[in-house]
Amino acid sequence: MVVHKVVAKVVNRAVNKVVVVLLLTLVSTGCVFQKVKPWERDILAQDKMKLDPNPVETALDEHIYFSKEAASGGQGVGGGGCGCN
Amino acid sequence: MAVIKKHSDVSSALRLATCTLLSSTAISSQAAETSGDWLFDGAILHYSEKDRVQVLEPVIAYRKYAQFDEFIEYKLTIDSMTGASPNGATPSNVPQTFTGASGQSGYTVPADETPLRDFSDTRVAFNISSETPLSNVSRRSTGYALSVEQDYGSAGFNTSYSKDVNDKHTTLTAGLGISLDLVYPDGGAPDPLININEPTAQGDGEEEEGEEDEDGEGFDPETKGMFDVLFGVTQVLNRYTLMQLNYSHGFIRGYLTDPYKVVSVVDSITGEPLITPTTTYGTYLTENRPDARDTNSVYWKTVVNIFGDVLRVSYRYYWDDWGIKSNTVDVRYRLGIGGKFYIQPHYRYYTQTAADFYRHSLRDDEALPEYVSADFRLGEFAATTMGVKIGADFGTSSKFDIRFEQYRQTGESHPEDAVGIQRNYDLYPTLEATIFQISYSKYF
Repeated sequence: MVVHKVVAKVVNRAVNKVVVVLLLTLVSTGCVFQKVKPWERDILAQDKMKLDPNPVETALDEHIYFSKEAASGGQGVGGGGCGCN
Repeated sequence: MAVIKKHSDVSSALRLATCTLLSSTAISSQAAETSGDWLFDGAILHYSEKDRVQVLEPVIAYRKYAQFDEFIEYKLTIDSMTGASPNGATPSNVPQTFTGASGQSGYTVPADETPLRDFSDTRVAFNISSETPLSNVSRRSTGYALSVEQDYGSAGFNTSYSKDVNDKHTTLTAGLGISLDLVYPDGGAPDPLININEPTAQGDGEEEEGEEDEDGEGFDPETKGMFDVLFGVTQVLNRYTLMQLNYSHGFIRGYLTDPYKVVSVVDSITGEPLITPTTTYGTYLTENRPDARDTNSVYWKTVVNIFGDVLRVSYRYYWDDWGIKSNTVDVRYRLGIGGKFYIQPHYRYYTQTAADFYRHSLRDDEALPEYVSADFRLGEFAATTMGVKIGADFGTSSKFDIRFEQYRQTGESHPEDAVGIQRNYDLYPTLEATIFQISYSKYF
């Protein structure tokens, strides 16, 4: 429960920041689509900007949720089967 | 992980480009110099349910890079599980005994408790995956998976092809996955819809008069086949935003029943377990699921860089022909907290509707349905995950993180169609679990 509270606090702060930035971005650019030149790809090239920066963790999570829930998949193909569901 | 070595990659690529202009022989020597990077990825996960399942799962992966992000990865996962999970029967006002059924020696559950079945198993999984550039705008990835546990084995293969178009702003992906699984519970898989407390049902399905009799000796597993296809589009929206949209379709055929799950048959008035005359125990039928399932999902994800922090939001809509519809929202925010450290809160919300054949129990005055399962995982429920990860990212050399999460699943505890004493019991007990994980990655 303590974790829930801490997370809620951090999430709240983060959400505020996100909303402000998204609004600013939309207002200032007028459009979300912008061509990105090869030399402007420094940010997108960062490890933390990957679609899946932690494949090991993703596989562990998918395994947990696969064993506890009826819906699975969506992110990619494959993954090892298990007798847990 | 590939981008961790971005500095060396970029400089190597520049050198390579220069060399290309000067001499073609230079390429191979430079290429040789850039190869040889190994990435070690290790994690250990502890998953713990209150009074139920405990799982300890270490993973080690080695990834070898060649030039231009080409790699091959070997991953070993060991999954050690102990504890107890619900067997599908509803609680009762008297102790309940379960005999027979798939390889289980009998066990008795105290009155007023959700019946749980003890188990312990170890799963060993080995995966090999690789990614190979086919040109400067296309690549192929391939994976092989093998996993074995005491009563289950799985072998799979997957491959996907990606192509960058629109000045590398858009990536199109098509993939497919195939797997063949074997289900071999101790004593063989039980026949569907038989009363496990009827003496003739004990042992296994092979002794039943019936169709698919084998000789009852040796290895005689049930089989399950899966075929998945996926189509995806990834779009660079601007310097800070990436978006992905996938559609996937799965065909699953074969033995999809859980050999360990049962369904209580209760008196339609009192809600008490129907007594099996020969043994005086309750009546619990082995479950039966259709032998085909077609699944669909639409998955959307966006990654946004906000002043160096990263917001990651995803949504999945899933539906299948068992009647299950599901929504999943996942939000993570990676907040830099100075230096190389970050904190990442995580929130996930999941809902699903019940499978058409999900029943918490059967009444003795109704006709036996063709398919039935009382597995909570096929019932209607909502689940939340809340967690936090704290990590350190040491640039090109290593990464370390710890995460702690809580998972909570709640369903309809008092469904309207419960009868008699069933109304006194929680027919969908809340599941609470904690997830703790430590991860470490390092380049060599």
